[in-house]
Amino acid sequence: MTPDEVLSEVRALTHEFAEVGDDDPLDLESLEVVQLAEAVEARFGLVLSGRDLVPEYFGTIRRLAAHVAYLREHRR
Amino acid sequence: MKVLRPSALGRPVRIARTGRHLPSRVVDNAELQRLGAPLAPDEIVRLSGIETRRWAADDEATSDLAIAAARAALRGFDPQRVDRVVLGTVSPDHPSPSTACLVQRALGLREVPALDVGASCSAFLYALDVAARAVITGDDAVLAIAADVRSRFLDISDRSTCALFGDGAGAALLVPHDDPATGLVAIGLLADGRGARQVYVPAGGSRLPASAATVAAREHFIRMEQGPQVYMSAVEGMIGTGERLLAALGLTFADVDLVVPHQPNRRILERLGRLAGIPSDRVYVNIDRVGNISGASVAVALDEVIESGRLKAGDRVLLLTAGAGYTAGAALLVADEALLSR
Repeated sequence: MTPDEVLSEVRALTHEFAEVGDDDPLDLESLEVVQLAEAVEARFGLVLSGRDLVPEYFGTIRRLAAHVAYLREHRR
Repeated sequence: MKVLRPSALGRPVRIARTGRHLPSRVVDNAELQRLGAPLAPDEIVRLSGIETRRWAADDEATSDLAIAAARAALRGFDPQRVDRVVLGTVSPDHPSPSTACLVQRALGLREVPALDVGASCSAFLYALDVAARAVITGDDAVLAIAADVRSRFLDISDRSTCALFGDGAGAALLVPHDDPATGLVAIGLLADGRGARQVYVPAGGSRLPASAATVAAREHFIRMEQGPQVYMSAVEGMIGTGERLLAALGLTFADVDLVVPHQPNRRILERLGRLAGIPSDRVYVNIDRVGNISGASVAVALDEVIESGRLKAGDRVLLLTAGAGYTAGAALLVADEALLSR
């Protein structure tokens, strides 16, 4: 899966909760963050930790996609 | 994580009795909304799985609940034989003295040591660990109690915490054992202070003493500023400690008959089961009825499990906690006949 394909998938998952641009702030309720995290886990076969849910990674769709791509490549 | 195995130290330990006490006032989600919670009843269920919780009466404090739970655990046992009281709480009656001393006095115990331990929602396992070590080193009967009245520290206007917490207490009496294969087989604890500000009460201690300004700023209430991170970290704490404890015994989650976890949120328990591969019928859940009873939750749940009759001798029961601090713990009990036939 290319980085663009990861971005596209993350965008589709995020739009289930908020129709925002790729670089707009993700202003989600706590439960929505958890639900998005679990949707990402299911789609990409990852297990996320609390440390993955910081704004640096979950702040925008683009940052989240980059983090998912990194995790797919390096950690899990 | 160091795993304590009492039998490896030559003095096996068992839980002889357990007890619990919940205040009589039942607070449902509709009442919570009437009190000012900014959440609809069905929203609370969707977010947390909680339908009701118990709250202490205005004239009840943590020691009252602890005393009642301890009396239940001591039923038929001479209190004069108790050698020590260890009480886990983060909502003591007073900053000083310890709540354990109030409990010791009310139970009519001898002048035995009585101390509080603070480990938030991991309090019961922290108390159990201290109590087990006391038995290993010579005590013959130690009360491990966990009790909390967190309803006094709730900001009813805070969406992230207002609906979660209930009040209650649970107790266990630890004694020496003659069978290394049953009883309290192992216990392990962790703390990770990097999470110290994730769930906390900002004021009322030496860092920020109580003042008119701290009261006005609502700084005596429980704060949870990064809910999603706390959610994920709670699962990590319980699975991590559980896995390490079981690995030290040559076991896995598949070898456990029943998991009795801390009850922070129904969704957390579902994630715990899913990631650890534990079928839902082997994860005990009571959060729908009693909410998150903080340090007392596993103690209350364990007493309910024993009373229910669902355990049989030889069953492996894994207790798991995770709480503010962060703290976490795991303990493996192997049910013995005497405990089940109380």
